[in-house]
Amino acid sequence: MTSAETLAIPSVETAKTVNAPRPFYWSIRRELWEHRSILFAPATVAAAIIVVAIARINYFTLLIENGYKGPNLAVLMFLVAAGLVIITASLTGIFYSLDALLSERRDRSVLFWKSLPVSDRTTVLSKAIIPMAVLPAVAFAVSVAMHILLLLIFSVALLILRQPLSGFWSQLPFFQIQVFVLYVIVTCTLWYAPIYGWLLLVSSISRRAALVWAVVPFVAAVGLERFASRTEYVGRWLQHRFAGGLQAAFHYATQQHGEVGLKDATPVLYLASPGLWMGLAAFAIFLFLCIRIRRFQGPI
Amino acid sequence: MTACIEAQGLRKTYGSTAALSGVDLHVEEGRILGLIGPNGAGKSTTLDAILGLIPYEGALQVLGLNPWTQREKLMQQVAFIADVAVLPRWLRVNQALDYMEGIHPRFDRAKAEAFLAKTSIPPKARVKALSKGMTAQLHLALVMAIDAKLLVLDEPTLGLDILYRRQFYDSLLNDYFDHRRTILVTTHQVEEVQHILTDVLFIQRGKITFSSGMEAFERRYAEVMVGPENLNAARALKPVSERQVFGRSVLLFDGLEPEKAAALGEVRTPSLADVFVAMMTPQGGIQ
Repeated sequence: MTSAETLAIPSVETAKTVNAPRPFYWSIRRELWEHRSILFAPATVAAAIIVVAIARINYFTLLIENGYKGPNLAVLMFLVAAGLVIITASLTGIFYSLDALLSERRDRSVLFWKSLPVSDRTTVLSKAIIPMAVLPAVAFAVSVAMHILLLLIFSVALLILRQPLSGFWSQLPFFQIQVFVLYVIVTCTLWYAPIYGWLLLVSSISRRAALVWAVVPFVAAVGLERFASRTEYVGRWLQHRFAGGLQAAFHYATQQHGEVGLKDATPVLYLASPGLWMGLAAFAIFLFLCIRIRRFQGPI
Repeated sequence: MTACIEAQGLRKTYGSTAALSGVDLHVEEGRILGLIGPNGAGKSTTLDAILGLIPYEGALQVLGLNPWTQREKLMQQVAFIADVAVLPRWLRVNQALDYMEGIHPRFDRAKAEAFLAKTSIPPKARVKALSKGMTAQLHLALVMAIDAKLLVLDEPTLGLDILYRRQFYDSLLNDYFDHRRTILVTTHQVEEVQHILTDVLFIQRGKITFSSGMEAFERRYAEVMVGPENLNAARALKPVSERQVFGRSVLLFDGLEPEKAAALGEVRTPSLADVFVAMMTPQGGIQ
């Protein structure tokens, strides 16, 4: 080997290792390319709400005006709008999770993905992060943007109607609403983590009709228990799983006053509730199983 | 030099059926190996094991790695084309390039783009809008831009027309293969790969039944068109198989001296397909 050759070899190596691979980041991008509804569904609902707000602007400005005397309807309107966006994002997350590890086997593309240096762990985690972080972040961002637009639209409408803006702005604690929405999104997402984990697990095992496999065991358990022992433990446990998050995140005694707001938030109680941590533990176990199972799974 | 693929007693059973019953493989670097066998012989199972897609029994090392436990690491140096249907239909061409560039340390985007520029594939098209041949071209472009040590092709040209098939193997040979890489290919279109192979393996009922370099293969087998007057003499030399073409007998011989063969009749070198059919037919095809 000549000296020129020995010099040439390492220079080629360094040229090729310039771009450090970022498989996790690109796996998430990949999910967004495939499932465009992750971005579109919450944005579409927000757009529809804005269209309705503009179309029925007289009605809403009337509500705002009435709110000066009675219950604060402006805040309620903003919260309902945010709630619709959050529910849309959650439903998107449910259907996404059910499909995430099934569609790649159904269209045989799993062979392509597995032929690349991306581990099963990276793949499963990049899919789990969609309902756990990406969709909540999208829901919050869309909700904030929608609230800003609604604020502008109502302000302009009130100006045109020659109404004072001060009343509207003073009864609408804009930043508190955003913090409240964020608190609801974070507490609900963490509380519902085991549900997304379970749906991902079902999608990694089932060959078709993932929704049926995800739901039937619980319906059967409730029915069987009621039939066999006339008790309702499973049903109550499920109810706790679905509603317990908000119960732990807010102190409901103030419910009799009509409104639940940021003042009723109980983050310490929420963080101390065993249901949260058991749920997160279950979520971790489900993901671990998904990773193990994907290793064995091929096209169906 | 370490072997590219080293397998000993590779076994795989699905339920009670054995897909692989003790496969031994030794593939050196820089070879183009054809794995040829009838349907259900265990070709795909062998490839799946090599690619770390299925668990197996027995010893298997690919580029010095265990494919089942080190798939991620192995796939930095191995590229794989199963058949044209595995690229996801929603993927856009430029997204595929972005993704490969983002995750693969050995992917050279400029190379893939240069190859795609020679095709009529629109850069923003989705896979579902491409024809089968274009999808294969795209997949080949992605794979050829990977600086891989081993390329595994499982029926890569299935369902493509003759033009695309020819182009596929020409690109592979001219733009990709450089005697440091190893290519492992399975296909039913034996004739089309014969001229590119350096080695050939026949697999039957989960076992390697024949293994040879192509040069040795061409020296070893002779096909002789024998006239009726020499037929008994020819049959005495124990041909591998005998078949009738236009009323004349064509006998396939294994290891017959060229002078003896020439004395019997018209001699030609049999194709891989001829020998494959002869060996796979029960009783060597002798009536």
